Parts: sequence; structure tokens; C-alpha cells
Amino acid sequence: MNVLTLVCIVVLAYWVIGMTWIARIPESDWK
Amino acid sequence: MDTYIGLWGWAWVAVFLALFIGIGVWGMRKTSNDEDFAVARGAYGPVTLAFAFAATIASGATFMSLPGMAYSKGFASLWYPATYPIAIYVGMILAIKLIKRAGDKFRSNSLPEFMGQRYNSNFLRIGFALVSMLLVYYIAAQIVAAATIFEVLLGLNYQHGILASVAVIALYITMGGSHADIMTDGIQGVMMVLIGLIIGVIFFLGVGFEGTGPSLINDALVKQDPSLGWDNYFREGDVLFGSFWLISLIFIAHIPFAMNPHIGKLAFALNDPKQIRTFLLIAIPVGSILGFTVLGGLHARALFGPEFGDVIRPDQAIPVLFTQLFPPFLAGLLGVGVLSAIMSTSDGLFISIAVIFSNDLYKKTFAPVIHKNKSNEQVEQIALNISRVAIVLVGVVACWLAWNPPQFLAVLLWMGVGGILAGATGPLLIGSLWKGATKTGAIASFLVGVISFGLGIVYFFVLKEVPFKNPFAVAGTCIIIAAVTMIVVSLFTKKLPQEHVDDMFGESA
Repeated sequence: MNVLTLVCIVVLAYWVIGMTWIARIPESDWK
Repeated sequence: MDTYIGLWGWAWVAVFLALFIGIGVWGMRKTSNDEDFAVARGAYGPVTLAFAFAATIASGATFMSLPGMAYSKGFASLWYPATYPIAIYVGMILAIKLIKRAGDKFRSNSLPEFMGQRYNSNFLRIGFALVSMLLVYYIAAQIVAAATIFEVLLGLNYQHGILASVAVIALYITMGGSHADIMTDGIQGVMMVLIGLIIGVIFFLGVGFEGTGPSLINDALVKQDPSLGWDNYFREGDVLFGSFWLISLIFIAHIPFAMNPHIGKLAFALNDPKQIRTFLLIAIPVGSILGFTVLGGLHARALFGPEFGDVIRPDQAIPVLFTQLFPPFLAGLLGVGVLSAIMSTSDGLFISIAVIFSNDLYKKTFAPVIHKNKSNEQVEQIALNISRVAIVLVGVVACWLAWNPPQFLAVLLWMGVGGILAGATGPLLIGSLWKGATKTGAIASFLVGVISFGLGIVYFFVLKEVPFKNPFAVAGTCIIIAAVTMIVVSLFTKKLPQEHVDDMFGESA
């Protein structure tokens, strides 16, 4: 696997994991 | 290589500068006191702020230095855009809830003020405010980048470019304060995301080569120098990308990045803390897309070869790529987008430094002593006037610094940013997560972070002719030291009054 592919996987994983995590926290918990 | 794009460049620059100054006039109508000027509290929704946040983080470095780094170091430099957005947004997610909620409750007008309120400490407020003044070098570096864009695309004299950049930013910020800052940044952020996407698309299509796909770019780079190719996970012997540990330090150095006063203050402008979720959902992908600019540096190196570096500086890779691949109409628009990246960071920096004078020093430190007989309204008006005068003064200092950039401009820039980050890690980042953080722990961590970073930079960059010139490694190491200091000292020193901690974190926290 080349470094471009690896970096693309890292960025996509960050988007999916990060956004899923944030989306699961109820809005009211941020208050 | 001819990069001058003629009238199209001037036309786009004129349109955008007129737009920004128009927003400055609009912002002036919404600014009636120093709080409006400093933070525009609760005035904006999550979409505008997510783009403004990304635009403020992305600076001249994102569109010029990073592609220049990729041009020189090849595919191994992709680790930078892969790691820094994750670190910045993780740090922000950890701290934003307390900063927004308690900052609004105590009506903080700046991060130095918030730091002082968090620990009931005038020392921390004044200390963090004074360290934050080093951000003027950050502004100077942005002005240098803006003048370079004017020079490359419009053929404008470098010094005239400096004057034009400072004059426009100072004008719309003096008038509109944070309202002008956030609205212009929101628009600039959208433009920058579009440019990031365009750079990504033309890279993956291999535009300019016969055929399609990024392997064409890799093949061209390997032909020039095998160490530039994508089979190199790390660049052997390189001070930035030489090992996994160095990449880890880049990550650590950026975790507290949102604690920079010009970035963290944007949280105060959000309408409602409940909107933090929507804000983060938009900010996460938007922040990463801006890192795609690094691909443009690889693309330029593959297309133009190493000899390009003899004619034009590597940090001009993106604007030159635009002028060579696109017609003047589009190249001018994209060039203005790069200018937007520079201006959107500079304007927030201008405000943050002005607020140090008006709020952290005058209103919170000197006014209670020298103006104790004046009403709150009078003090607010004086503070607002100080903010506007300070913008002009900061503009003059930035012009002076950028006119003949000192040899150590980059070092001084990082002394400011790195010192702020190392100093803020304990009091703001750990202090946002841990109720047990003490005032003594915060002061010790702040001093250890700032002083160790200052000494590290002086040792590696100024006094010692050593090859290890890596500000991220110095910052990352000092951030770890500051964090450990915060925890250890807090465990053994007097706790803050429980009432104050409950007030800060809220009963449900």
C-alpha cells in the first residue's frame, strides 16, 4: 500500500468515526 | 515562467476587496460596544462559523508553505494534512463545551480573559495576553504571503502589496470588528473549500499529463528523485517527516491549536451551545478538505520539475500551478481564493491583539484602578476606541516587520504560536476537562510551557547551528511537559473553591 492510499484511508476513517461519534451525542449534551 | 494574468487578476481582487469593505461597513452598524467588536457574542449560526473556523485556521501556510514543503519533500509530506486537522478538531471537541458555556456565562471577551476567570487569576489573564501579543509575527508572515500573491499574479511591487494588504484588512476590521471578521471568513472559507476540492480533483485526474490518475504524478516525481515517490512512508533523515515519532509530534503540537486566541474566540459567537454538534459535523470534513492544498505542491513539482525552484520559490507552487493550468479568468479567481486564506487568518489575529489592549489590559486590569469613577458605558466606549486605534497600530507594526522580513521571521512566528499553545495546554485544554485542575497547577503549567518552548526555540534555531530545525517537535515535546506539569502540580496543591468549580462547569457537568 502506498502512502497516498494510506493517508486517504486515515482521512476517510477520521470523517466516518468523528462524524458518527459527534452525531450520536444528543444536542442537549452540549449545553 | 510568466505568471502575470493581467486584468482578470485585478478585476477579481477589486470585486473581493470591495465586498470585504462592504461587509466592514455592515459590521460597523452591528457594533455598538467592545463585546460586539471583540467576539460578536451569540450572533452566528453553526454553518457560518464552521466555515469561518476552517478559514481562520487555514492561513498563508496552508496555501503556500505546505504545498512548498510537498514540492521539496514529496509524498511523505502528506502526513501533515492527514494529521493536523484531526489533532486540531480533537482538541477543540475536548475544550469547546466549557469554553462556550462558561465563557458566555462569565461574558469572556477573549481567551486570556477566560483563562483568568477559570482560575480566578489575574496573573494568568495578563500572562496569556502578553504572550499572545507575539501573534503580531503571525500577522507579519501572512502579510508577506499576501504581498507575494500580489507580486506573482498581478505583477505588483512587493512593498505596495504589503501596504494594500494591511490597508484593506485594517479598514474592514476597524469598522466591523468581529462581525466583519466572521462574515468575511465565512465567505472566504467557502471559496477555500472549493479551491481545495479543485486542487484534489486535478491531482487525482493528473491534469497536465498524458493519461489519467495520480500514478502519473508519482511516476514523474520518482523519475526526478526516487525519495519523492509514494513508496516512501517516511523521508529518511528528514527533520519533519523522517519517522513515525516525528509525525506523532506534529499531531501532538496541533492538539491545542484551537486555543490560539484568534481561533478559540469564535466559539463565543455561536448562537446557542446546542449548535456545537451541527458546527462540528460541518467543521470536521471542511477542515480536512483545506489540507488537500498539499496535493498541489506535488502536482507542481511533477509538472514543472526541480528547476522551477530556481526561478520561482517553492511556496509559490499553487498560484503558479493555477496560472499554468487554467485560463486567466479562472486563475485570477483561484488566486483571490488564496488571498482569502491569508486575509481570513490575519483579520482574526488583528482583532485578537486589539482585544488584548482594550479588554485584557485596559478594561480588566487598568480601568478598575485609573477609571474607577467612570460608568460602565464610558469604560465600554473607551475600550471600543482603544480596539480601533490598536488595529491601526498593529497594522503599522506588521507592515514594518513584513517590509524587510527578518532572518528569523519563521522562528519568531513559531515562538508566538508554539509559546501560546504550550502555555494554553494545561490551563485551557486540561482545565476544560478536569475539575481538579488547580490555580497553582495552571500557573506552573503555563510558565513551564512558555519558558521551555522559548528556550527550545532559542537553542535549536538561534544559538545552535544544529540540523534539527523542527518547530513542531519542540512544540509537541513542550506540550507534553506542560500537560504533565499541570496534572502533577494540581494533584499536590490547593483545590479551587468548590463553589467556583460548580459555577464554571455547571451542575450537570
